[in-house]
Amino acid sequence: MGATLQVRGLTKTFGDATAVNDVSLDIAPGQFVSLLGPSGCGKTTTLRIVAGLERADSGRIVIDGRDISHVPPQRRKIGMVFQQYALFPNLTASENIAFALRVAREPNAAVAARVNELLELVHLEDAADRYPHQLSGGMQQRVALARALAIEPPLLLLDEPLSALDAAIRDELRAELRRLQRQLNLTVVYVTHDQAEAMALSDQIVVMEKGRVSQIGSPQDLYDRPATRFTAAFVGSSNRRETSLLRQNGHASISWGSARLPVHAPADTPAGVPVLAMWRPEAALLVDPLDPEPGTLRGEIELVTFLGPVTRLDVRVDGDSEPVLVDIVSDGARDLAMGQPVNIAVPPGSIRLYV
Amino acid sequence: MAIVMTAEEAALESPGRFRRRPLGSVLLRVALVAALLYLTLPLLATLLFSLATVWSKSILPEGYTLDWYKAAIADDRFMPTALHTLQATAGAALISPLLVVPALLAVHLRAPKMKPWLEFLSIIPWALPGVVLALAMIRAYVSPYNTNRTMLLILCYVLLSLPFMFRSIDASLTSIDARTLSEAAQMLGAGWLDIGRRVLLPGIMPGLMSGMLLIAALGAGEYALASLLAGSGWKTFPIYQAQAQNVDGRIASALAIIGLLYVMIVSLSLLFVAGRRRGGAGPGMPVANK
Repeated sequence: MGATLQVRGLTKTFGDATAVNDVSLDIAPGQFVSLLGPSGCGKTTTLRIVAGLERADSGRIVIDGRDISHVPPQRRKIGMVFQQYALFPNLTASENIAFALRVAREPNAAVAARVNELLELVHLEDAADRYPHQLSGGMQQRVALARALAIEPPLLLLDEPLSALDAAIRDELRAELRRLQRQLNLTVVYVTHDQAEAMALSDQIVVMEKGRVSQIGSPQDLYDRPATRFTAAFVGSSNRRETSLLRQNGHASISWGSARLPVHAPADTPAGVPVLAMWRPEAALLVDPLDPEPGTLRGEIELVTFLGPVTRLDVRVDGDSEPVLVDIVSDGARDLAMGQPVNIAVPPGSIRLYV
Repeated sequence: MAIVMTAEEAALESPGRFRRRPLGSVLLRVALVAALLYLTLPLLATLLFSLATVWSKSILPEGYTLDWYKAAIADDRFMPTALHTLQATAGAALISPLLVVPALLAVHLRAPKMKPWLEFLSIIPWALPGVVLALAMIRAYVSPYNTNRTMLLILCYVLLSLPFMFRSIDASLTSIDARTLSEAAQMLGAGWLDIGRRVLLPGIMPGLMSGMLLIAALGAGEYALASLLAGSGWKTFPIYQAQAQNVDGRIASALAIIGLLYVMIVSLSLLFVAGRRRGGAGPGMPVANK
């Protein structure tokens, strides 16, 4: 059964650098939570503090209501999977899986039964007697996963477990991980810098920046309503410009290149305030270039990239410094070619502003 | 068309390859045989000399006998000196890891930045001539209150063995990524005793074994320090060998062969132990597979 995990005011410095700065999290039982951010954002350090492998300067770790901040890692009963597998090279797959049970002095018969069960769980029955160097990367990571699950930990920590693997195996293991987590109702904290991975796996994503939590939310939340400039820039593709808010006759707009785009702005944001405007490529619509409406971007297609279901256009907008990205359904993109003039409408509700 | 071209190319290529290959492989073989001869001829000559009745005017000895071996072993000095050498090398082989392993673990697990310093310190004994080392040890440690020159010799061997031990165990710890493995073991509930026994010791075993092997070889052939430090009171096998040389070269040759056999037996048994510890997994002796 999954545990609840509460992290309160975690702070950790290495020399002059603050790796983790006042991080607090609440994770419900059975939730799959990803810590997402660029390298050096403090996600791995946060995970290692939860594991007990790093000691925080201040803050508390509470699992199922029990403060374990000062409990050594070997007594926390937390499962952990490392980026580089960290299998014991002198032990076979099944001996690796049995490690925690052997250390706990479990009787031989119980160990054997549990190991078989775990080998089956990760589909490695045939590899039981092989040494780590005789296994592929994907198989090694399955062994590492089974090994971490041997003690039935209520909390499983994964530190970029898929990043050393090939794309195909990564996708396969990703699905497998989600299945196992559901099946065993595990609480999982997963560290990754890969937003697609975080989106695909997580119930909740914690976006981290420079040691702080930038935003916590479901994958949809983060994508549709990024709350901070950092999340807006880090999660998903987007078109972003530093500009300022304009108001005319009660209507708010921003300038984008030589055009003006109407936007929804909070009434208390005064005109002239510098803002970051952001919209998703798929929010834009192509409109008839012969019938230019006010409030659309006029430009020329610079690049057409077929991405399967959608086609991405890089459009050079008049008076703008860099191209904007527009995703349209591929069916509607058949007649588009580079150099073609287009008109782009961006619904005001799709443009997010960050003061 | 493309296939025809390939066939033509192959036909054009192959004679050249046939012309080049014999020359290269002949040269390689000559080099190999020369190297083998260079390395084995002295040994072979020593072996023949130790078995020869008389060997003065002919290419091969005039007759063969085991008498020199009997004489070498029957000598009163054989057993004590052999035992002394065993004691000195075993002592050094036990003390050296006790110094090196904890220091290297500390460096690997806690303070990787200290490693270059340790490496530098471990190499110093090799930068000094043996005589200087021995005299320095005597000046520093021998006094009317401390005349235990045997211990001094053992400690000298420990000093000389530091670079071997340091490097081979360091390589083992690096190859197993000791820090991450220790953390993984900790997360699986292992305390430091279990980590040492189940993770680190098997991990450094190959390095430990090759380090000990080098100490055994060192002790079996080291003369200068042994004669300067332990001297006449506590003779080692190489000292006996040198003395035998003054009596009869054939006895000295028999002793040299016995010494070689000893090193060979030690290395084979260490290899065997190391192989068993690793469960026969994977190729290669000193460095564990990652």
